[in-house]
Order: sequence, then structure tokens, then C-alpha cells
Amino acid sequence: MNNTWLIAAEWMFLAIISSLVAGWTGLSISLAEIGIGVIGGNFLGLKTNSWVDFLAGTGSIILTFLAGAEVDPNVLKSKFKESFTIGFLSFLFPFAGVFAYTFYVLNWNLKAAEIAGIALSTTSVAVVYAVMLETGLNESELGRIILAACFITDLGTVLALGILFANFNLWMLFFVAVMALVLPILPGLSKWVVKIYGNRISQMEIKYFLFLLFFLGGLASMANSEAVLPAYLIGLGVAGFFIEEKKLTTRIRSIAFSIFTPFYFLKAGLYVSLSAFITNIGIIILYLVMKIVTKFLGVWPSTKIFKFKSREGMYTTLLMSTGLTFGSISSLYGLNHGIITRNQYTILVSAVILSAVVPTIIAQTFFKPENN
Amino acid sequence: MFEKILLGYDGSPYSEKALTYAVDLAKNYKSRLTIVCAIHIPNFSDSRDEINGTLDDAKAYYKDILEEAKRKAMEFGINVDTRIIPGHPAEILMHIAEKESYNLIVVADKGMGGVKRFLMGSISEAVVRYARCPVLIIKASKTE
Repeated sequence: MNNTWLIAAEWMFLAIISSLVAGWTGLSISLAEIGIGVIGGNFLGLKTNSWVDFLAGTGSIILTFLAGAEVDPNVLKSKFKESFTIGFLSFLFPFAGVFAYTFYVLNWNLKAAEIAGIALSTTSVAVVYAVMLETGLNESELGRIILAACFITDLGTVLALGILFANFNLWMLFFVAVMALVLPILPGLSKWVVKIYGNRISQMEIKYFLFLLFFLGGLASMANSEAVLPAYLIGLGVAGFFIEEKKLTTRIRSIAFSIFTPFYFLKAGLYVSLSAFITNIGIIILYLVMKIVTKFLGVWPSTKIFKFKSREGMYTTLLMSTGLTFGSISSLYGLNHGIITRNQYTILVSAVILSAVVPTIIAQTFFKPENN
Repeated sequence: MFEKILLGYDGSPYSEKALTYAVDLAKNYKSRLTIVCAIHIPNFSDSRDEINGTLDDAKAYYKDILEEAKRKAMEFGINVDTRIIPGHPAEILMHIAEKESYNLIVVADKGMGGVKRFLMGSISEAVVRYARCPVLIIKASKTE
């Protein structure tokens, strides 16, 4: 089928089905879209093309931007030592452990092993945040430390993805120079743009953010880096401002969830091969266990150093073992750039999805802190 | 006997029926009635925005429903308060009942249906099984 509108209708129909499934099951829309994408890719012959890739890519960029913009600077500043230590070790140990296992035991090539390390080093801020809300821990000191640590882990993941595969050439120099110029003036400039031109029918402030994301993402990709790197940094740059501008966040979220992110998550699912999943189920489970174990090695001792109670330490460790967004973004980056095969992509994304589910269930069932 | 009554409420016809019973009991026993709406946060969500969006939508939806329920209860001179809390409905009801020493939990038998009921389990069953205070289940009639 070559008809653009019918292809778009097919994708949107699957997005609608995903929303219905999410409503019926109580699962998140993103997980439902990945699941429907798996069915689409394996049974319905769903395929991507250049404009689907563009919409999906924009979805991942806006998701990353919003993830950066969600960071509460006050949370980061308070208890910085604890959250930085936990967050950094939560990135470092899984990255190093999974990389070493993939490279030396599974004999994937160096770049593919790096993708595996990055994909499984992530922590899902959203999964952690949902659990925090349900337990009321988001208002507690422990909750704030865990959330801030998640942001540090995500930053480590995004930096690794943006740096490890980049070409250190003139484009990279140009990209770094532009970022160095833009980031310091970004908070003030964004406030000014929203104050002077915001809340008009032309939606200029949204166009302004999209321009920044596309332009800096374009520069990053010219240096063979990943467009999500500047997106996260831009998000961080306007984080405090975005917390005050809730309506702006809502409008960007509405645009992203209706037209961009469905393409991203459906696409992330469509490349998962069910036959590869079944063939590699052992490796997938092993990866999941490895992620939880390496997170344990990195995070649990630091919770002891910072005098968390045993139960809280285990709870924190398990929550830091969750992952979804950046895990799938890293894996898709690897697949799109020919670094990993579809078989390897299936292994990584399946392990990433399981890591969103399994540690959460274990933490909620066995280690929920008693004082909430 | 029932100084404090806790009602699980979602605005469905079944929970409306439970509200009628809870109001009647509160009137007879001169009880304080607390009406609680639980917001189910999507499981394993991928972005905080999805969670915040769900919370915003649900709060806006339940605000009107709870105001109407409160108005109905106050018509009978009942001392009533309302809450909207994120989490699993059964866990919320049991947690509040235990922490704040409620004497009775009232909940409708039917609410969620289909797959969600299968995945999350029956709320009334969970409350009956694990709550440490008396529980009144308002069952739907055959025609409901």
C-alpha cells in the first residue's frame, strides 16, 4: 500500500486500539502501543516509511524533552550528594556489567554491546513516579532522593548514547559550541518568548520549542550523535520554568500523545520479532536478572551508606531497576543505525519491557515501606 | 456503633446505590461519612506526563461527582467529607480505614468489568478479605 493517507489511517487505527486496550486493562498507553505494535509487525505486515520514521523520531525527541523538563531543580538540589551517588552508580554498574557480559560472553561486537549496556542501565522515572504517588512516598525525603537519582541515571544514559557513538569531528565541535551558547540563555529566552508571544492562536511558543529540538537535534545527528541528547538537555534547561507553566506542558503533551508518540511506540513494538523472542527467552530473562543484580550491586550499598532502612534500601534498589523510555530509545537507535540486528533488538526491548514490570511487582509486593 | 463510615465511590449506578445505603446508615447512627474516589494510575507508564495527565483528568471528573454525592448526603444533615486519592481502590479503602479507625467500609459489588476486573481483581472481594473492620457490600440486583 502506497497511499499516504491510508497508511496514516492504519497507524492511527492501531493507536486507537491501543488506547482502548489501555483503558480496558489499566495498562499505560505506551505499553499498550508497544504490544499492539508487536502484533502489527508480526501478524499485520505493519511497516515503516520515511515519514513514519520522522513522526516516531519526533515522538522520542518530545518524550525525552518532557522527561528533562519534568526534573524539579529543587528536588535535585536538596540531597544532591545522596541522589547523585545513587543515580550515578545505578547507571554505571548495569552499564558496565551488561556491556561486559554482552561483549565477552555473548560475543556481540563492541558497539552492539555498548547499546546493550546503555539500554539496560536505564531507570524509568515514570514507573518510579507512579509507585511513589500510590504509596505517598513522593512527598517524603526518601521519595525525593529516589526521583532525583532517577534523573541522574537518565542523564548518564542520554550522555552515553550521545557521546559513545558520536564522531568527534567539526560537526561535533560546532554542536558543542552551539549548545554552550544556547543552554545558558535558554531559561531566560524561553520565559521571554512565552511572556511576549505565548498563549496566542499562532502557538508560537510551541513552534519555538520544536524549532530548538529539531535544530539542535539536527546538529547532533550531523555529528552522528543522537537527537535525544540535546532534547534532554533543553528539557533540563527549562525544567524549573516548565513546572510553573503547567498549561504549556499540557498543550505539548496533547500534541505529542495524539500524533507523535503513538508512531514511536508502535514502531518500537513492530520490530520485536515473536520468533526471536521465543528463541531467545533464556537470554532475555538472563538480561533482566543481570539488570536487577547489577542495579543491586550499584544502588543497595549506597543506600546503606546513606542509612536507609533495609526495607527502604531494597525498595529503592528495585525501583531503580525499572526502565522503559530510554531503554527502548537506545535499542531503536541501535537498530536504526545498523548497530544491532532485529534479533538483538528483540532481546533488548523485551528485557527492557520486562524490567518495567517485574521489579515493580516485586517491590510493591514484598518491600513496600511500612510507614506509608 | 458506626461512628465513622467510609464509602468507596466512583459515580457508577452501583456506587450510587452504595451511597444511598451509606447515607441511610450515617443518618441512623449519626456517623461521620467519608466518600473516597480512587484514581487508577496506568500500570508501567512510560512518562510522568501520562501519569500527571491521568491524575488531572480524573480529578476534574471526580470533583463534580463528589460534589453531587456530598450534596445528597448533606441533605440528610450528615457530616460528610470527600477525598480523591491515587492508587488501587481496595488498598486505599483498607489503608484509610485502618489508619483513621473507621468502623465500617461500604462498597458496591460491581464497578469495573471485563479485563480490568480480571487484572486488578474484585475490589469488594479484596476489601472483605483483608479489611480489619466490618464491611458492607451493596450487591447489584438482577436487573442492574
